[in-house]
Parts: sequence; structure tokens; C-alpha cells
Amino acid sequence: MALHKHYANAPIREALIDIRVELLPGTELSSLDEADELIRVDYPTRSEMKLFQGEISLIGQASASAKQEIIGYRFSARDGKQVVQTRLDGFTFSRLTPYEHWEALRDEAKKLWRIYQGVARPQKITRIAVRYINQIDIPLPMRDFKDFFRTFPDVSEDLPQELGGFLMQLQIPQEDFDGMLVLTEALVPPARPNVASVVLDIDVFKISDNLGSGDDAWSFLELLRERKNEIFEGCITDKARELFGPSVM
Amino acid sequence: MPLATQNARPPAIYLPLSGQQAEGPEFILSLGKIRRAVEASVYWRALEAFVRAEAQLMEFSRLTADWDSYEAEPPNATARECAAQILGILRTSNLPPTRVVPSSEGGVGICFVNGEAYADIESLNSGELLAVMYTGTEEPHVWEITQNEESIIEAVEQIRGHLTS
Repeated sequence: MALHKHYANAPIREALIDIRVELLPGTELSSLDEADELIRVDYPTRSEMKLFQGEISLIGQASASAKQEIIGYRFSARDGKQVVQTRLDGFTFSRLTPYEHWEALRDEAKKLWRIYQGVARPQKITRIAVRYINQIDIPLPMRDFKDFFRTFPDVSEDLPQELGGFLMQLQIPQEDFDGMLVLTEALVPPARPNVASVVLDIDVFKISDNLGSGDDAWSFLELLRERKNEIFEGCITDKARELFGPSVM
Repeated sequence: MPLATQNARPPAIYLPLSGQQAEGPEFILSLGKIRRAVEASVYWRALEAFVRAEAQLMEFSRLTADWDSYEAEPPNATARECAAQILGILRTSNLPPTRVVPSSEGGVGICFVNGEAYADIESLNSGELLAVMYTGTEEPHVWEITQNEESIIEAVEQIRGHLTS
């Protein structure tokens, strides 16, 4: 299996590094505010991340209530191509298209993580993930999605074969490191005329109480990244690879 | 079943999960997880916003004259088609609009709001394209956009700069 391929026109639309943490009990949102000034140097636009919760009660007289809670902040770079989330339950860094390379993603995420770590002072890391969202635009007309994908929903031959849309999610344990792959594949509205756009969302993660508090976790991310590459290559065919242009190892 | 065939059986494809791996193995919890996975991603959230915007745009074809009770004309096919083209460019540029509205001037408004900063692109029934930007109560900056991809991309980047400044 070919690894570490770097395609000229990689279909990556978003690459994420996600680290969930446990903070000291009673840590308040205001503690994250201390990171504002440092993050806003390169990520000036801040928006609040809200969690909406609703409750419907059918006991006695039916009633409904809803509340919203701010759980963190989302900061965007001036060009909108990089976004960092700082939350009470963790940290996420996203790189949007055009994707450069893993090292740039990792190093920027690490720089921002240090800022987050400095103010949030996480007790431990509880979940760590590498997630790549690919959008593969297949030129029309095409014969069969399976000419491009090796992991794809199978429709019985007794049913019509035309697909108007689909959403498939597979949860595949990664037993060697006690982790998990959540593979989401979906047909989405076409990015432009005369293509069919399929999203391949590869989320590889590990949940554990033993992920350490810093450097160990960053070493582990390298393994997740390798696994993500194997999974991506394992999901596509050579015909799909041709869409991404020449590759270098 | 012949023994050889039995031996050739592939391994079971269902692997029971430990609670730790699965974050809750029940399928129904997956629906909530899909929602959270969408929320965590800039790409999926933007895609959702574009699908919603395109659906709003399609709804405008059902508006009739005087839809706002102030004698406004409904957005015509020219305005809607041009707005659809702009939404395509915005999707490529990864700048989802806050909302898409019919304009009382006759046309479609594609609006962006970030705090006090506001911008919109108006695709008018006449075929003209206008952009507007302002912050708070300051005087709006209005300019006409030539109807080609380069000019629209240029306006989109100006709007992005305004929203993030």
C-alpha cells in the first residue's frame, strides 16, 4: 500500500487535529479568554460556540424548554483558511483548502495548542483525533461510483441502481492501537456543473485516560496520520487517483 | 456445506465494541455523533449553510408581486440564476452567507454578518450586481460588480476582508 503520497490536486477540503481534554473541575469559560490576545494575532475573527439543549416534558401538562450555553470560541484566520477552536472540552485546529502538507498542519496546531494548554491547563487528554474531509469531484458522465471508490454502499441488483443521494457511516475498530475509524461517505450537492461530488470523511481517533498531557499525544498523532493515509488509499481506485494529478512520495 | 468452503469463510464482519472504543455503540447515538461531527467541521457547516441558501433561493421562485405588501417585484429568473452562480463562487471561496433574502428593490440579497460588520451582494432583476459593506452606523460603501467570475471573486475577497478586519 502506497503511503505518504502527496497529490498535486489533493481532494482535501479540511484537515483537522482534535484533542479533547479534561480540565480542573470548576474551570470557567473566562479562563479561555486569557488566550484571546495571543490567538487573535493571526486569527482575528472570534465567534462563540454554543450548545443548544432542549427538553420536552410530557408529565402533567406538556411543556418544552430550551437553553443555550457557550462552550468555547472559534477563531478564523484573515483568509478564512485556518480555524482554531478553544473549548472547555478541548481544542481543534482546522486547515481548509488549499491543503499544504502534514508538517505545516501539525506545527501550526502545536503552536496553538501550547497557547490553549497554557491557559486551560488540562489535567489530561482524553481523546485525540486526526480527521481529513475529502471532496472528490467525479466528472460526468460516469459509469459507476465503484470505478472510483473501493468502499461504497452496495445496492442489491434487484433494485434500481441510480443513486439520488446517500450517507454511509462505518465505525471500524483499529485494534492494534485500540482506536477507532469513523468513515463517513456521502453524496453532496455538486461543487460545480457536470461533476458528482462525494465526500470521504476519515476520522481516526483514540479514546483513553492514558494519552498523557502533551508530547506523548503529539507523537501518537503521527501514527493516526499514517493510518489516515492508509485508509484513504484503501478507499479509492487508480481511476480516482488520476483525478488528483501526479503524486510524489 | 463442504469443509473447504467453511474454512474459506471470511471472518465475522461484526465486531462487538468495548464502551471505551465506541463512545456508545448503539446506532441511535451515532445520529447525535454525526451532528457533532458536522458541528466540529468548518467544511460540513459551510456545506450545510450553502444547501440552506440554495433551498431559500429556490423558494423565491414562488414569490408573487407585492410579496412584501410594499409592491415589491419578486426576484426574476435572471436575478435567481446570477445569485446561484454567486453561491457557487462563495462555496469555492469557503465564505458561506448568513442568509439569502428577496430584495425589496427586486432581486436577491446574499447577506453576511459578523458582529457589527455587514456586507451583501445584491443580484437585481435588471441583471446588475451591487455590493454593500459597512460597520455599525458608518456610511455604507456601495459598488457595482461586473458580471464575470473574476470580478465576483474580487468582491467576495473584499467582503471577507471587511468581515474579518
